[in-house]
Amino acid sequence: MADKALIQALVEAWGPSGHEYMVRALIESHVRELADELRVDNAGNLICRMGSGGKKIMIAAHMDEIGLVISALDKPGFARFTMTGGLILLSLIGNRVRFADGTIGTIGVEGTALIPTEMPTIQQLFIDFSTNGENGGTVRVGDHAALTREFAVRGDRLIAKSMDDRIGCAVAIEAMRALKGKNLPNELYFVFTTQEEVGIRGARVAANGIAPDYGIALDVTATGDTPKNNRMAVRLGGGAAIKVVDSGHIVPPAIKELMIRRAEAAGVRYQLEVLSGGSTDAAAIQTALSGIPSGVISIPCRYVHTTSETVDINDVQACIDLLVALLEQPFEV
Amino acid sequence: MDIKAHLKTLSELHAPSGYETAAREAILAAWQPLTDAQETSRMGSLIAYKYGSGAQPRRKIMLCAHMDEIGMIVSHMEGAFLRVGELGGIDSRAIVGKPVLVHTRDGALQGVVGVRAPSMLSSSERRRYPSLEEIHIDLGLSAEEVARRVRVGDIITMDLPLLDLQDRRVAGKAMDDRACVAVVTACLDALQRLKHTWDVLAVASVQEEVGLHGARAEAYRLNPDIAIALDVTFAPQPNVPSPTFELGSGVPLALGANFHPALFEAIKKTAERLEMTLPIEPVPMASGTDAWAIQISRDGIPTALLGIPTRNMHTTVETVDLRDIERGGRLLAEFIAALDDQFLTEIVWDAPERTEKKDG
Amino acid sequence: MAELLSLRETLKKLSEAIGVSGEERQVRQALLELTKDRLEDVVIDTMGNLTARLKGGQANALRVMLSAPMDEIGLMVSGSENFLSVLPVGRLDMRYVAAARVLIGAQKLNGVVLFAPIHKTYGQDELPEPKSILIDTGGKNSAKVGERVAFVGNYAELSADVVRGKAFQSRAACAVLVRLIEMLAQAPLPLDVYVAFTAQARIYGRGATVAANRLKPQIAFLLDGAECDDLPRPEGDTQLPTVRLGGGTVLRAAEEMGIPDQRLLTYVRNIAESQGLPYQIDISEAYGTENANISQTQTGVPSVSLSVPVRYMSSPNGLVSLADLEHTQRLLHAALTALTPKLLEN
Repeated sequence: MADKALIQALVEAWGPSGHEYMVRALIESHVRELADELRVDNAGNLICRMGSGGKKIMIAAHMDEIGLVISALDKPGFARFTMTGGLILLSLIGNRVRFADGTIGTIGVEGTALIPTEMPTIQQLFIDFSTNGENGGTVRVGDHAALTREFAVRGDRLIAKSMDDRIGCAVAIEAMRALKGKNLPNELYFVFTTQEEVGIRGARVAANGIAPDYGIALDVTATGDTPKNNRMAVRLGGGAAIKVVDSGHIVPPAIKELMIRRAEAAGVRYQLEVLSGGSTDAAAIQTALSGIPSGVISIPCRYVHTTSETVDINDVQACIDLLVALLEQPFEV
Repeated sequence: MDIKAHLKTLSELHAPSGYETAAREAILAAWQPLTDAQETSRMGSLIAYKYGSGAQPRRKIMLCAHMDEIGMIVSHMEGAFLRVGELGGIDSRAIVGKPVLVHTRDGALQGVVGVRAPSMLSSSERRRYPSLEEIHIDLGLSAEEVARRVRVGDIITMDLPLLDLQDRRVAGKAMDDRACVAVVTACLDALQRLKHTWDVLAVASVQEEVGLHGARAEAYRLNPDIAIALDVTFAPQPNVPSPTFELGSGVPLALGANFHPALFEAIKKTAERLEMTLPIEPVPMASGTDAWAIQISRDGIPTALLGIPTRNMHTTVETVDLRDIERGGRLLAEFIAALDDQFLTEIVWDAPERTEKKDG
Repeated sequence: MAELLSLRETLKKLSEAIGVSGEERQVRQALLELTKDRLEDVVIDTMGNLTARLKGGQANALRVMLSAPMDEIGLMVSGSENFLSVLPVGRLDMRYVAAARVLIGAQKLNGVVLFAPIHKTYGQDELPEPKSILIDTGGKNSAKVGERVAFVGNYAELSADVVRGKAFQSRAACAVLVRLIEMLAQAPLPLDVYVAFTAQARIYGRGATVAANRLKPQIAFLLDGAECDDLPRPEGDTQLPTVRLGGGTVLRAAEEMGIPDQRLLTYVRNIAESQGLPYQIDISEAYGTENANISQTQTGVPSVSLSVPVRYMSSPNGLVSLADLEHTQRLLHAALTALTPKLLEN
C-alpha cells in the first residue's frame, strides 16, 4: 500500500509557488538512486530520466503549493499580503501560515466582530507574526509563506495541506520505485514542476526543453460526493480518476482509451472525470511546441485548496498502479 | 463545385472540440482530389498540400479554418438523465428543447435537451434561461438503460439538418467555422484552374473553440511564410452592436494589431483588381480567432483574417450566404495565384523607401 | 377506405401536421382523412371544430361526447420587413423559442428565430418578451401579416416506447381518439357517441365551449396532455414527482379553472383499478384543460379529463410513452363499455 511516511514528508514540506527548493531537495533525496539522469532546468523543474529509447513520455507533478506574499507591513507584528495561487479567503481566518525560516503567522480579519458576517476581501485580512509586546519577528515585505497544518490519517483517508500536488509527487516517486530495474520500452521523464498554481509555468518550460512525444500529468481533482454536491461523478474510493476534460484541456480520446485499457487489463479500479473548473500541467504540455498529446491521472480529493485536503489511500495506490501499467508497456496510441 | 452540398455535409456531421475525427474524414474526402498530399497532425488537425509550380525552395502560404464545433460532454448521470459539461462555449440558452445525439461506445443515442417543467420553477427561475448546470439530457430511457449504455465523458452534439432559407442563405449548426472550411475548399477548387508558384497549405485546425490549440501547434510545426485565417464574423441583428457585415455584401478583411498591415494591403489590392467589394472589419486588439495564435509563432508569421458574415452565432441556426463563401474562395485563389518570389520583400513593415523624407 | 395506421404512424402523422390555434386546417384535414369512414353528420363549425357522430350510434342511448384538442401554440406574423415580427398565439414557454426553426403560412416557408450571439450578450439570461421575437426567412417581405407560424419538431423514436415530437399535448390526445374511434367502429357500444376534435384549445378552450353547446352531450370525456414533473430537481428540492412519463393516464383531481365531476372521476379511477390500468392523480394547477369550458356550458355537462403524460409539453420536442397512449385508449374504452345512465344519478 502507498507509502504514508513519504506522503507525510511531502505534504508537510514548505514550497509556495516560486520557492520550491525545499521540496525539490526532499524529492531529490528520494529519487537520486532511482533516475538514470537528474537535472534542474532554468525554471527550477527537477527532471529525472529513466530509460532511453522508445517514445519520450513526460510525467509531471507540481511541487509548488498555493501561498501568499507579504505586500506591506502594518502595525509592528502585523503584515498585509497578496496570494500566489487560488487561496480560499474564507478558510484563511484563524488559519496558520509558515515562512521559510519556520516562523508561524496567524491570519486575522479587520474589525471588532468576533464572527465576520460578510465574505472578506483580501485587503481586510492580515498576518499576525508578533513575538512579544509590539515586536514582530524577521518577516519582511516580499517574504513568501505557505499554509501549515499537520498530516492526519482517518481510516483510509489521508488529510493534509498541499495534497495538491504533493500527492501527485508521491505517486510519481512510487512509480519510479516500482519501475526501477525494469526493462522500459519508453524514455521516461519524471518532471517535478514549479509554479503550476500561478499559471502552469514550470511545465511549459520543461515541455519545451524535453520535447516529449506524450505527456501525463498527475494532480488532484475535485469530487461530487459531499452533501448537496453531485456536480461530478468522481468520488473518494472510486479509484484512479482518468481525466476526460477540464476547463483548460481536452484529453485526446485515444489517450483516455489507452488509460482505460491499461486499467482494465491490470485490474486497477478507475473512474472517469469531467471537471468543470480547474486545469493541470497537462494543459501547458499539450499546447507546447507543435502540440504534445497529454492525459492526466487524477487523485480524487475533497476540500481542494484548504488545509484539510482529503484523499483515499486506495485511490492513491490505484493511481500508482495505473501509472506503472502505462509506463512499463509501450505507449500505443 | 456544389458549395451547398459540401456545406450540408460539414454542418450535419458531429465533431466537437477534441473529438474532430468525423470532420477530418469528411474534409479529407473533399480536399484529397484537390491537393497533392494530405496528413493528420499529432493534435488531429488536417493539413493538405497543393504544391506550387515555382522552383524549390518554395514559399508557403497557410490557410487556416477550424473544424471543431462547440458541443457538450456527459459529466455525470442523475438517474435516467445526463448532466453535462461544455466543449467550447456552448450557449445554454440556445439549446433548450432541441434534439441531440449522445455518442456512446456502441453508437449514437437520440435525445433532447430538457429543462424542468414550469411548475417546478420558482417565480424568479421562470423569468430566465437555464444555465448549463440546470439543463439535462433526456434519452427517453430508464435509469438502468442509461447506466448500461452511457459513460461519463461521452460526447454530445446538437442534431439538426441544414435548413434552406430564401436568397441562397442557409441556416445550421457549426457554420462556425465549417462555412470557412468550405471557403478553403472553394479556394482549392478554383486553384485547379489557376497557376500558382507558392505552396498552399490548407489547414483544418482542431480545438479553436477551447483555446486555438490546433492553429498554434500547426503554425509552429509548418512555419509558413504567410498565413490567412478564416472565421465567421457578425451580421446585423438586434443586440449585436456594430460593426456588423450584412450577408451577401462582401467578405470582410480584418484590420488591426493582430494582422500584418502590408499583407492586408496586398489582399485588398487583389479584391480591387477583381472589382470585388471588400468591407473592412476593424479589430483593434485580439481577434478571438486562430490568427491570434498564428501571428506570434516562432519568428512571427505575417497573418491576415477573412470573415464570413453570420447571424445567430453559436446556435443551431447560424445563418450564412452561399455567395459569400463562393466569393471568399475566389478572392483567396486569385490572391494565391498572384503570389511571386518578390512578395515577401514587398510586405516589410517599414520599407526604407517609404520613410518620409524631411524637407530641406 | 382510409388506410388504417398503427398508433405509432398515427401519432407521427398528427404530430408533424400543422395547426396553430385559429388556423387548424391542415391537421383537421389529416384527422378527417383518418376517421371519415367511421363518422356521419360531419360538421366543421364556426370555431373550426371538427365534430361528428359515430356511425352505428343508438338514437335513444346515453349521449356521450369524446373530445381531443387539435391545435398547437405558435406565432402570428405582425410585420414584415427585413425580418418578420410576430405575436404569440397561446401561452409560449420562452425558454424554447431562442434559435427555433419555424414554418410560416400554408406554404410552409422556412424561418429561424433570431438569437443574438453569446459573445455579445454574455451573462444576459433574462427571458425576452414574446413580442421581441424576430424571424429570418433569408429574404425580405417574405410573409403576409396574419399568417400563422408553427414551430418545427424533430420527430424520432428514442426507444420502442418513447417518442419525441411536437405538439403532443394535442396530437397525442387526437391519436388516442382516432384509434378509439376505430376500436368502437369494430365493436359498437350501446351509446350515442359524438366526437369533437376541438379548435383553439390553447386560446382558453373556446372551441370546446361551442362544440359542447352544439352537441349537447349528457356526459363528456376529454382527452388531453399533462405536463410531467419527473425531471431532475436541484439538490435540496425533495418534492416527489406527481406526473411521470410511463406512469399511466393522468386523472386531474383539481384544475386551474374548476374541479372536475367527482362522480365521473371516481368512476374512471375505479375502472382503472379493476382493469389493472396504470393511472396517476394530478393536482397541479399550472395548466387547465377544456374541462371548465365543457362542464360549465349552458346547463352544465358532467365531464372528466383523461390526459397523456408529456415531458416538455410546450416544447417543439416533447416526449410521450406509447404505452401511456395505449393504456389511455383502453381506459377510456373500458369506461365507455361499463357506462350506464345510473352514473349520473346522485
